[in-house]
Amino acid sequence: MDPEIPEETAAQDSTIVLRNHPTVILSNLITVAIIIAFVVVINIGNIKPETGEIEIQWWYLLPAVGVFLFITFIFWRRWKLTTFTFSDNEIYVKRDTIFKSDVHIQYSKLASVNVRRNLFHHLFGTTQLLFNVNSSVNSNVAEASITLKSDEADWLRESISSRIFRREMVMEEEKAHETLVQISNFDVILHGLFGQPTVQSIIGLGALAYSVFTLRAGNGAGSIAAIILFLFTTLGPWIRTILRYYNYRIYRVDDTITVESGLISNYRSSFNIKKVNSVRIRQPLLARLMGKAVLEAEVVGLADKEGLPLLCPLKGKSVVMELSRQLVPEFLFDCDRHSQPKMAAVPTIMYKVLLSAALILISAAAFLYMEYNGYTDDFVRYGTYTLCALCAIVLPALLIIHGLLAQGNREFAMGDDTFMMIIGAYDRETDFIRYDKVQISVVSAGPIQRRYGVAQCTVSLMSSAGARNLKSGIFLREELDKVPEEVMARIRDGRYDYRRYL
Amino acid sequence: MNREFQVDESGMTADGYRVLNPASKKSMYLGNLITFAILAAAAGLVIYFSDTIFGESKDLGRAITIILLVLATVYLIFGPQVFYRRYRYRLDDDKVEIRRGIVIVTHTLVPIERIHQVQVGKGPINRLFGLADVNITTAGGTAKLEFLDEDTAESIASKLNEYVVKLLKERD
Repeated sequence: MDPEIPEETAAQDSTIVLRNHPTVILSNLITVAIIIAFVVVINIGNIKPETGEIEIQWWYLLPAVGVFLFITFIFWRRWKLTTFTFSDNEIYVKRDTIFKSDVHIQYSKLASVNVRRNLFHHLFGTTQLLFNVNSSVNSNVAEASITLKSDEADWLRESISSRIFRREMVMEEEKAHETLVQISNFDVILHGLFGQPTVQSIIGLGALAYSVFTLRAGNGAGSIAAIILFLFTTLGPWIRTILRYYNYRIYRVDDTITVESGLISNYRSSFNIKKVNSVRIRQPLLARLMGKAVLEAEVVGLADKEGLPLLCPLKGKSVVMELSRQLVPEFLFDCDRHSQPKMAAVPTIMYKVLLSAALILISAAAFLYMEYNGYTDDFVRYGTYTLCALCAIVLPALLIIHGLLAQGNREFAMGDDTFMMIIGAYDRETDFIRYDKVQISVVSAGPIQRRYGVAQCTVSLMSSAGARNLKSGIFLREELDKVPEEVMARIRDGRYDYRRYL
Repeated sequence: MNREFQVDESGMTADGYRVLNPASKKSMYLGNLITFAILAAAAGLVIYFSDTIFGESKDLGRAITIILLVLATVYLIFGPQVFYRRYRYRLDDDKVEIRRGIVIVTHTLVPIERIHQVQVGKGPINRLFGLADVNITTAGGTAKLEFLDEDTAESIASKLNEYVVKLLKERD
């Protein structure tokens, strides 16, 4: 506990007043020190025009040290004047600096409480607690975060858990809970490799293949750019995913789900099942071919720059289904789900056919133009031929297959509290969505869809990263109209009660 | 006039929807005229510098530029008519509905219970014609009632705001 707890607040049994651990100042100063050092290094040397010698201007260090000390003072003052008060109903963050702020966060508004331990925290034995409010605004930034010694952080979580999650929590017991699914580190590596969207993997692998080919051919043109593209689009996300989900554990106690993972940095996120807006079973193409799936949940505040906390990394489909039955049974329902109706096949495939026809025509025009104008430059000619072949054969084929797969994959069903959409063609995604979490619904139909009496339904809801739109497949219009009707019916007859989700 | 667009004395269609003020077409056309001027200027520049931009393929480049400009012009000419004919909105005690679209026709439904914020927006072109938009924000996205009379927009926004404030007070 912080020794400087004001007496008047400490006297009240249930109120806890804390301050960040002082190492927060150090952690903030590291970035500042790096920037100042960079500026100093590039400016401290002065080349004499007469001799060309480099003269070190030591006086340059004075303003740098001055700026560093000034910023240190600001950080120290901010640390000193920022307090966190955990009362019976709310967290109150008071900052009494030049830029004053008073933030009141009611426990009932909290969507999730996350625990982060990066290298710096490990070094100083501290833990960062992040409190996220159920709002799509600033969903990536926690409304309040406090860094404490690890044992203090555990003690704080135990103390306030009954107020946030409405249940007592003992951290030692929490750490001993058995995970509901056994995820080996090999599973996590597989997840890193095959859990990404297929398009992302194809772009990355294509870039890698191109760079290897150009390097082997001795040309090397563009290979650096291709390697960089591969690093950013594929290798980077792979490594990040593996680091993020290593040592994965998940368990549910009463209504609280807790997810733990991390190789270098450790993450622990806890959230109440009431704060889950939708649940998703995702199967990227390659994973689907291997019979594997990923289970994800949309909870505001759970996504950060390190990624989305999963309910289950890539695992066999049957394991994922069994886990979802144990973990989020509130979202699942048994009913006759059905695929897109036959009349939906025309608009589903027609758009692809029209687009393919346009691509073929443009490619043919480009080819003929090239031939009639007698281009002699081999690079331009062969480049155009390759592009024409890609646009006239490969892309139309992929588009038509996409249409056929979409017609077979997409499903829709309505349950009592949730409804289900299966979307996607190459990558397949099954979403279970709470009617009560639908913010806006849009039923739309293009000219061909209107002719066949079918439409698509888009629902907007809060997600882990803010807001998300989910678009259904093509179904009978009157069937999709039932979604907004049900949303309204639940509000009118009282089945929707905001207190259920507090 | 199409029957579904005929309004009664209260300014509503048979299915209870309201249609836009005809002045909205003028606002859309003026906006489109400005868009056209910008597109035409850009196309003119592309054609003028086609030697530099397209090199040997300058004829093809010019042809594509002209085709794109013609397509955009057709859309800018006929778009406002279709938009006006199809745009309808309805405000009930518990929901806001908007039917709209030029190529893709959409039916948007926003439960008033989900509304967080309501804002009236008046751009310079809309102000010329006494029109305004009502921007509705929910936790999951936004919806917009466009090209309304200023009075109607203010009245809708005030009604929605009252509801949101009442709801928040009840919950506190």
